[in-house]
Amino acid sequence: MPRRSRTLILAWLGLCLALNQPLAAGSLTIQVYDTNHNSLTDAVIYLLADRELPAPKTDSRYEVEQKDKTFQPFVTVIPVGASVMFPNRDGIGHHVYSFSPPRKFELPLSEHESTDTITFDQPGLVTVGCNIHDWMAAYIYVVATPYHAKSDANGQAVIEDLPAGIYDLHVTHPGIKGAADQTRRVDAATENRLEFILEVKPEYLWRPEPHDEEEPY
Amino acid sequence: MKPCLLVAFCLAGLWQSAWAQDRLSFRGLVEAQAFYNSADQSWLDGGFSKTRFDESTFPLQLGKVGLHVDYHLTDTLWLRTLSTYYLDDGLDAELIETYFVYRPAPQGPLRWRAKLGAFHLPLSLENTGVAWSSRFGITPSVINSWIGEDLRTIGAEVSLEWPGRFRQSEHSWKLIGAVFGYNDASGTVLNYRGWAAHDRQTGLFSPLREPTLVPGVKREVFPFYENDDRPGYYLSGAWTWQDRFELQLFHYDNLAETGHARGGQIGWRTWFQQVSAEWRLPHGWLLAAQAMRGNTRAVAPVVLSVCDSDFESVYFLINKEFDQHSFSARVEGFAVDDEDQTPSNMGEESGRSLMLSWQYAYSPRWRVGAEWLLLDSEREERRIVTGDGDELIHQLLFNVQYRFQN
Repeated sequence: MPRRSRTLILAWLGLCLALNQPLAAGSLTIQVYDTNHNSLTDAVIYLLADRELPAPKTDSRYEVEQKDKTFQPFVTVIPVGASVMFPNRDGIGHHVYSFSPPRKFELPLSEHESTDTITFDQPGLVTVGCNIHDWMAAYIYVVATPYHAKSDANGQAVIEDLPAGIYDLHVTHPGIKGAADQTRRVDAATENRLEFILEVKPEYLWRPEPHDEEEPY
Repeated sequence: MKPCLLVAFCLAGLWQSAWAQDRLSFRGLVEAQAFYNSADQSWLDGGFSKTRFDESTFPLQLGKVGLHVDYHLTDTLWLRTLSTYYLDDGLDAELIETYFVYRPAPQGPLRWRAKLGAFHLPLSLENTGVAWSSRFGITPSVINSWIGEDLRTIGAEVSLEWPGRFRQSEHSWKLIGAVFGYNDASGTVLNYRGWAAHDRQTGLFSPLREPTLVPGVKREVFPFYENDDRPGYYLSGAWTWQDRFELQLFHYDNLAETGHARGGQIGWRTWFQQVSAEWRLPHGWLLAAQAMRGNTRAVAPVVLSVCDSDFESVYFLINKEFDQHSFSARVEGFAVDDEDQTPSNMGEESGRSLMLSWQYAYSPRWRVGAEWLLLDSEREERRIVTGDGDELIHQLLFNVQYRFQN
């Protein structure tokens, strides 16, 4: 084999090996505001891509507890296939349910009771309620990607260890106006900080006020 | 009271197994009241005065004891009871409500629920608290006093809700329909006694007092009584906007057959309509109003004399919550127009009242408060019997309330 051809093959092999390895991973910070430029907490960010992404880890422990007649946390984002526990930490019974198409379920829970987990196999938004305390609400976003995050009290979300590449970044929120998420195509190799402004509906529509007591009438 | 004892006995039987299975829950309240009242003679003692107490009542009373017991037969089917205890009538416990509630978890954006048994009508904006207590003060408006003393659904009720939250809409809708019996004497008391303002509920098997016209002859009516085996109905539609403003329309008709007697009582055909609205404003402010008008009519068998009265009332209430304090002011007007052809027009009355109230939730268990009620009324029957048809009642009430639950 001529020397030149051997060099070319080696270079080709090297390139193949290099491409097979993840490119340098970095973090992506997303800042979310509402239209009044206030930091928006509980916004959900997830990245999809045209290519196949690594399978998300589904062994993390997720919990949506019932405490003081509210669900905590209010918003949870989990990968497809993950399971969530719904422990009741109140001294009264709850009856947790969802009729959202991605996962319908009912969990009657006596006081201070934990149950088996519920597994979420379909992507989409699952709205959770309590049949005894009508004002209780929680949202579980099930996403088909390992790259997801939720904005904190400062409206900031960080996706760590994101391999370089082109992604479709989705931003959504339980109160988002309009049915669709906000999306943007991002290049993780060159962009590491993004800002989004979301138009959200009035808070009472998606975060009902907790009641002091269950009114019998 | 025997039916109460029977229910208590049944409940006691279920208690032990239910307790172990975590299926039984209870909650309630005990309220002591101290007061000054200027009324001549309370309607409870056969007088014409509109309040529960009068100037001769000992000014320290056990206002009420109320106990809800819920037995969870399944996760979606409950048996609920409410019993109260008032000292006014001696040592009687009263069974106020006992019914099954079916609350299936929603399977879609429409939610439906059903009740079967004996329970309060869903049309009070004031009495929504434990043991049907008012959330704004002690003495409810005359409309809600009447609902508590003279109306009860003894039958089946179905509600259908379309909550806006389920579909991210500003508008929620709710329809309620019911078919009931045992209300064929409801409305009688509005004709014979008129409106009243008090915090008592009538037991399912207990009578309501009417003014004594001939000394020594006690008059009373059992409101929860079936005369004609013909059910009545009510329909209600409610619209809620932004979880802040709620408007409800309500139509009730007991469809009682007039001119028919059974067990010493006659049927009173009573119907009414109510419009109510509640507006929750920012900074803890709240506005509420109920307006009701209707008619009650009876024909005495054989002699065929007719009693026919239109009744109407409206109140406006403003409430401000500030930390653990709740301040309320309410104005109301009420009237009964005697429409029958008798010359005396005994049932004719009109009145108005002002209520100022302060309630303080010291802790989840303890509450204290004060209320001033000024109630002015004129009644034709009182003028004929006592010579003076007008009465202006001053009432200053202090309450201490203890709430409990398991």
